[in-house]
Formats: sequence, C-alpha cells, structure tokens
Amino acid sequence: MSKMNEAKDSIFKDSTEPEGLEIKGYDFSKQPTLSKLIESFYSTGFQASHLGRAIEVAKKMRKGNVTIFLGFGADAVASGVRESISYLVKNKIVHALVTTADGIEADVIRTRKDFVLNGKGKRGDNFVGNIMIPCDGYKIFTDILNKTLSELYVEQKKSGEIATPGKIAKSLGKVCDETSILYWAQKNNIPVFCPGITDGATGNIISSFKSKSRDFKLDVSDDVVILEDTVLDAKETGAIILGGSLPKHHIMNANMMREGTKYTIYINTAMEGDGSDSGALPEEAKSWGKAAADVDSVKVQADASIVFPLLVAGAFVD
Amino acid sequence: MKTDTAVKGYDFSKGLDLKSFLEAYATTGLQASNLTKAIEIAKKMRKEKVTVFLGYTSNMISSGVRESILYLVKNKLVHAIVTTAGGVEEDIIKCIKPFILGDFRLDGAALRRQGINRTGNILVPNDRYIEFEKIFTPFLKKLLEEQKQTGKIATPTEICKRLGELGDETSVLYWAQKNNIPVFCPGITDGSMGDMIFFFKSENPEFKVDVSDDIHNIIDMVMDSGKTGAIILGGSLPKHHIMNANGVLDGLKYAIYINTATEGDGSDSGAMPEEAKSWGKADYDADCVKVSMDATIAFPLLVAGLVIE
Repeated sequence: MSKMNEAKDSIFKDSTEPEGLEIKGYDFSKQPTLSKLIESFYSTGFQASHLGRAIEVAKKMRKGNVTIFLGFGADAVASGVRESISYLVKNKIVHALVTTADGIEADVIRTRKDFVLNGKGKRGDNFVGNIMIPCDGYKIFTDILNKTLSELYVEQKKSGEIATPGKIAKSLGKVCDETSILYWAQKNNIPVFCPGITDGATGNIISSFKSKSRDFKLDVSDDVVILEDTVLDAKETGAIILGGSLPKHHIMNANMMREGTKYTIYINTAMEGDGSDSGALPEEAKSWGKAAADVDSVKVQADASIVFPLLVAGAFVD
Repeated sequence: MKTDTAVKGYDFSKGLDLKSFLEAYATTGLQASNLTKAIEIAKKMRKEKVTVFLGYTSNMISSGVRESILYLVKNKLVHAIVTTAGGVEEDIIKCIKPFILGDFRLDGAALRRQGINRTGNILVPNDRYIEFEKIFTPFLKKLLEEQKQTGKIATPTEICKRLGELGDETSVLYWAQKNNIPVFCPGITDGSMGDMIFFFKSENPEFKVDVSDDIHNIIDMVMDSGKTGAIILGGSLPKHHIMNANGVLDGLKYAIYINTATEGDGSDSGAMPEEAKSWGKADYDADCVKVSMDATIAFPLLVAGLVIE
C-alpha cells in the first residue's frame, strides 16, 4: 500500500456512532429567560455541560434525604457569592458549613462595612481580586472578636468549658444581621466548622488577646467530633465545595468515615497537575473513599462568582 | 462599569429574573464583574456603531457557543470574523450531522479504535469528516477549474463564503455570507481542510490558495473603519490576528477577551489587554476587559445581556 493510501485510511477512518445528547446551545431567536438559558447549558458542552450536570446532582441532593456539606473560602464571602450562600443557609437547604478564617471574618465585616468594587484603594485598604476591603473593616472586626473572646474566656474560667471555632462562629453570628451567613447558621442550628481559624486576622487577634490572657484556650478537637458525628448520623451525605484548600479537603476527609459522599460538586479553577488537593477531581476522592465509588460527582472548572449563582438558580429556587 | 460600589450578590428572594440576575453580576466581584463589564462594552460597541471583529477558536463551534455566535452574525452585530480551520469546517459538518456530548475522561485509544474523535467532552465521530470530504473535494475541483479558466486564485475568505452558501440556517458561515460579513481564516490548512488540500494537490499540484489578498483586506477594513472593537473567544490565531490587524493605526477602542489562558508563559493567548496596549493594538484609553472563564458559560450570558433590554 502506498504511503498516500495509508494516509487516506488514517484520515478517513470509519467510525461507530456514540450514544449521547446532541450538542446545541441556546437559541437566541427565542427571548431568553433565566430558567431556559440555564436549561440550555447541559447540551452546550465543556464547562457549561458540567454546570448542567452539577445542577442535576444538586437537584438530586435536594430531593433525597441528604445531609449537605457546603464548603467555601474567603473569596466567596468577599464577593456576591455570599448572598447565594446566605440564601441556602437561611432556607436550610444546606446542613453544615466548612470555611476558612477569613471566610468568617469577611461575613462579619460585611454586616458593618461594605466591601467595595474596583475601588481605588488607599494605604491600609486590602484587596481580594477586584474587591476592596476598607482599612477600618478589620479594626471593626477586632473589636467584635475581642468582645466574643472575652465572653468565652470568662466562661472558660467559670465552668472550665474551652472555646471551639464552632462556638466562636455561633457567637459572632448572633451579633450579625440578616445579610449574614453566620447569622442564619446560628439561627437554623447549622454548624460552622473552621479548623484553620487561626490562619487570618482572627489568629492575629487571638495572639494579642493571649498576651493579656495567657491561659485562654481554643480547642479544635470537639469540632472534629461534631463533624464526624454529622457525617455518621446522616442517611446520605453530599458536598458542594466552592474553591479549594482546607474547606474542600476537610469535607471530603470527614466523609471517609462512611465510604464517601454520595453526591459531590466542586466549583473551582485549580488544576490537578501539581497534586494539591485543591485541584483534585472527584475521581481522586473516590480512590480515598472520600467519595463513594458510584458517586454522582462533577467538577465545574470555572469562577464561582459566575457559576454558583447559576447553580443556586437552577437547583434551589422554585 | 460601576466603581466604588458595594459588593452584593443576587437576592434570590426576588425569584428568577434574568435581567436582574445579570445586573447583580455587576456588584458580585471577581469574574462576574468582569462579565458585566464585557456586556457593557458590547452594548457600547453596538450603540456607537463600532466595526466589531469577532474571533473564536474551533472549540467554540464544536460547542453550543456556535448558536450564540450565530445570533450575532445573523443580526449583523459583528462585522468581520476571524477563526481557525476547525472553526470553519465544523460549522459546515454540523449542518450534516450533530456532535455528541461525551466525557473528558474517555479512553483515547478505545475512542480511536471506534473512530471517534474527542474535543474536551464533545465527541465527533469520524464519519463527519468523511461526509465533509464528499463536499470539500468537489468544491476544490470547482475552485481549480475557475483558477484555470480565469487565473483567479481562491482566498480563505472566498472559500468560507462559498462554503457558507452550502450551509443551512443553523450555520454561522451561512449567515456570514448572507450578511456580507467576511470570514478570515489565515490558518486554513491547519485542520481537515489542510489534509484534503494535501490529498487534492497530489493529483492537482497547480492548485493554489492565496492568503495575501485576505491580509490586505482585513487591514483595509481596519483602516476604513471609524472605531474598531473586538470580541475574542479563546486564544491562539484568532486573538492574535485581530489584535495584530488593529495595530496598523492607533489600535482598537474596545476589546472583550473571554478565555482561560494564563499570562505567565508569555504566549499571546493569555496576554491581557494591557499587553495589547503596549503594542499599539489597543488604543491608550481603550475600554477593555478579559473574562477569565470558559466561554460556554460566559458567552451565552453575554449575548443574553445584549438581547434582553
């Protein structure tokens, strides 16, 4: 056979027809509505299809008797994703929260001080991407947290009861308003887990507090028991995780206790190549027993500020 | 673009209203705010009758982004297109047979044995290319006959125009030729069309495709326009070609990039608008934004923002 014929055979190789949905995007000759546009994502391909699938998985979680763990970092709370999270907590759609120190801080500060978009910034202002946190935000938070710490310290001295991140989150929620995630969490008895609570302004404030109150203690061992109990007591578990790092790892790690989550949704932009858990796909979690083998799982590789409100709109609003 | 505005996300107690949902992106921060800025720039371009260059890579046509592009072309909201070879051929192939939703994690060797090609999570069985060849080779024959008769050598824009005549109303190329919107494809041989030109030339070595007329035409178009602007989905050649052509004068006034490329490696795909300014491809005070996001989600939202008003 000549090289030319070989080349033709290779290029014009016969194929079998796969089964599956036809790729088709939204037809804009029809006036779009939010629901119709969201419906069209499933057949659009790439990350739009992953979003469509995430909405399906989320709907299944909502329908079943599933304990849903929601994980998120500070970027979500600093941005307008906070309002989507707040909606889920207020309406008891999720059942446990795992976040970082600055996730808690940002939620509290935003009840006192607006975060500012595309602000010019002055000395002392802090930025999260294109979001500016006015410099006095942390001063306000310091006052609030110091008050909470003092109360917990008095309690420790009186009854010997040592503070936990869960208790701090609950106390802070009580001094927040109805825009706040922590407010609705304490109101609805939804536990907030924050094992890395000292990694942020909270840590700095605790450090200062301890210079005066040396014997103040903050225990993280009770919370991990509560978290594991929540996992073990659940009929089924599911995870919705925005971003990577500690919240992602902590939720999935806790679910090893029961051979893994039944439903898993990741929304983040991390890559898997460096081996960090942030970019690990659900398939990797399956290998650890963090996600069940037959799990309904999906990663949407996209910015949560665009995707998460769409997920909430598609799965959790009637 | 709102500046010094308080960050606030969509309030779901309002129910599901597309207009207010998209408006809430403005104050959501991160890429959501960049998406709003992109919608605002697109609206400005429409209002100020800017000559808009639309660029996209072939994966946009593989996916359902094709239908969003189609809306813009059908309604003459863009005035020139720059794409890759795959962006041309897949548009025509989709008029013959659909592409199928698959999965990113399918076994490549197993797919090859079944003759199924994969683009991300989209499957393109090879019979699509066999069918395309049945159109494209006779098409090349016709071009060659004309070349022999008149001495006129075909250009990529001419090829795209005449392929569009063979497309149906679901096709971007169909509406482009119908609306006199040129489709530039300087990398036309980098794909299935290139393979077929290769086979065709083994029997017809005198056949030529000229790219010099097109580069002249696209630069002319930039020079003849008042203000120019760009909407570019993905990176690579379409992004560079549009920006490069706009470097002949003072640069374009508006630019929207939607892609997931990073800038660290210095490739133009990930280059931010600010880099284009340094080359004079975008004007000093050009209004530009990059939405760092998969276009399958971001672009339909952008078009929705243009449609609902």
